[in-house]
Amino acid sequence: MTSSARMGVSQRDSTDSDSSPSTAAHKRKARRLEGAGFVVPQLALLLVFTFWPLTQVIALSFTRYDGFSDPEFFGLGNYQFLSEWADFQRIIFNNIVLLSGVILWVVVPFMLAILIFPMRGATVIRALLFVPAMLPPITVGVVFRIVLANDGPLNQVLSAVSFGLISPNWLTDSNIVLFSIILVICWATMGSGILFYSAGLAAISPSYIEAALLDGANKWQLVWHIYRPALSPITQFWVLLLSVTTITGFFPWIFALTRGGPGVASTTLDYAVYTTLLGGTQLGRGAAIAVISLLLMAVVVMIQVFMRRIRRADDWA
Amino acid sequence: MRFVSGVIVVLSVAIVMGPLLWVIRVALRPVNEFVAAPTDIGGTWTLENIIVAVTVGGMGSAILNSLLVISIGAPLAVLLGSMTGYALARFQFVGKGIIGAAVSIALFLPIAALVMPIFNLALDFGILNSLPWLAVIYGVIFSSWVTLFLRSYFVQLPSEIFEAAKVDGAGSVRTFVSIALPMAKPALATALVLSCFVQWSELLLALLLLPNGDTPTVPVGIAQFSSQYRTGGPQTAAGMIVGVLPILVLFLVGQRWLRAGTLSGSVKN
Repeated sequence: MTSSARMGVSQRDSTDSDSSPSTAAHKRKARRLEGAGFVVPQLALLLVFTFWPLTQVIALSFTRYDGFSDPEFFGLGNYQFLSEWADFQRIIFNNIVLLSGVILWVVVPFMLAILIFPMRGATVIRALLFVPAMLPPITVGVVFRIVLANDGPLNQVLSAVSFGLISPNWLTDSNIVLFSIILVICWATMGSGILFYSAGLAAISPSYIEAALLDGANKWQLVWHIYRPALSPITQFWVLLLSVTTITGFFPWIFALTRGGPGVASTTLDYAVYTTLLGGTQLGRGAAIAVISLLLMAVVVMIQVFMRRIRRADDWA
Repeated sequence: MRFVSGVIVVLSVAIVMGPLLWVIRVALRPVNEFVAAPTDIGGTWTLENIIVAVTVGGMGSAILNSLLVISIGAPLAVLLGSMTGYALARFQFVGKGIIGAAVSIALFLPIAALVMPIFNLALDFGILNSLPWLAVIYGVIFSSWVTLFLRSYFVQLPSEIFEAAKVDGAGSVRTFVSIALPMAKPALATALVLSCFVQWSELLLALLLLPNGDTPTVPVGIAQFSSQYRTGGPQTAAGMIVGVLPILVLFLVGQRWLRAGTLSGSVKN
């Protein structure tokens, strides 16, 4: 997205026979506007439904607003409140922990793609593993609310196998609930990741692998020195896709799995915005929470853009 | 080593298929048997829960509502995105960089951050509880990625064809409709399928913009379901299976295009 508009300076000057200054200028002007019409519908609609609401939510975050009377200016009051509110600190913590799930959501499909690639029936295996990716998050969430229930099938199996010792409260123990959610999201997304990585693996020339094997590389060296760099563009893409879709979209998972609980142990920023809206009286505070989630998203994207710049500069694979 | 790989892969498939098969089994058990023995998989098989889910449970009408929404919203998103994507790929107009940046920013904006003002907007304009308007909002909000996706596709098309069209005297619109769009069919189909999926599954906006609960989309219906009936009951399970079937059909039908589209547009970076 670094292309810059050439304002008023046309790269290609008119090469036709008519070279009078006014016609050339006219052609330059036409080129400056050519194609602009296509952009208008989406831009106009984005202005109405995205950018204007964006300014409104930022403005609202500096007010006290109960939904009925007019919003009343409150300066940084909401932000101050949030910074001191223990529940909110937990909420931020939740977002960061869930975000770190990206590591699992990348490593698992990466390894599975490599393991599956040379197998007979790899296509069928990948198709089966892709099924969860076709399910809407809320459906997956409800499925696992059932399966991970304290007396649900998973715990029944674990109990039976471990003589009643292992039977964690997956979704009701505030110490492990975030971990459970990370596992569920891994379950749902690994199929897509495997597809992307498999496409990348198909693009690696086999002679490259053979050469490495002939040189005496063992499996782990192969993974680290050959596969990891070769699949690095896919990893970058996958990490970006995961972070954008999960950070903006924790809501259905949380809603289905835990309703944010126990307490706020699994409430994320976007779920908190929802509960504030339902509560109806602290809409300014809700807006502040929304703005903070925006900032978090900006930070996450910036980090990735930054990492990409570093990678390019260092000339890593 | 190969044995261990095999075990890991088999385990993964079991972990993936297990919960799904279990939910399917639960959906096909009579409620009384489930209540008596919740984790049993034996017993009788019945379709009564599915029937209840579709009729009394409201899944049937929820599916129709969601179909209405995606039939408006998905084509809208693809239309908006392909127009802007085409312009960004093939023209050099004033402000092109800013517009490209704006679209990218819109892509990264979390919906949760915008729901409050959007709700107020809908409230002020009296378009709450309206499925078509929800579809329009979906079409706009979920159009940015289509723009970038189609842009990277159009950029790769050879310029000769467009230059030939220009020489033949075709205007921009004509070129777009008769040349660019047909050539972009795989990418357009991919964008359409994925847009349908995203809009079918969206929960937060639907919950807030359809507050009276009379015309729920499928996710809203599932959300209502899972609070009403005993969680985990066969009726919840049946509701979920029914709600997911149209999406599975969509993917089955669109899978050819999905594979072609994702491999060409996104991995290259």
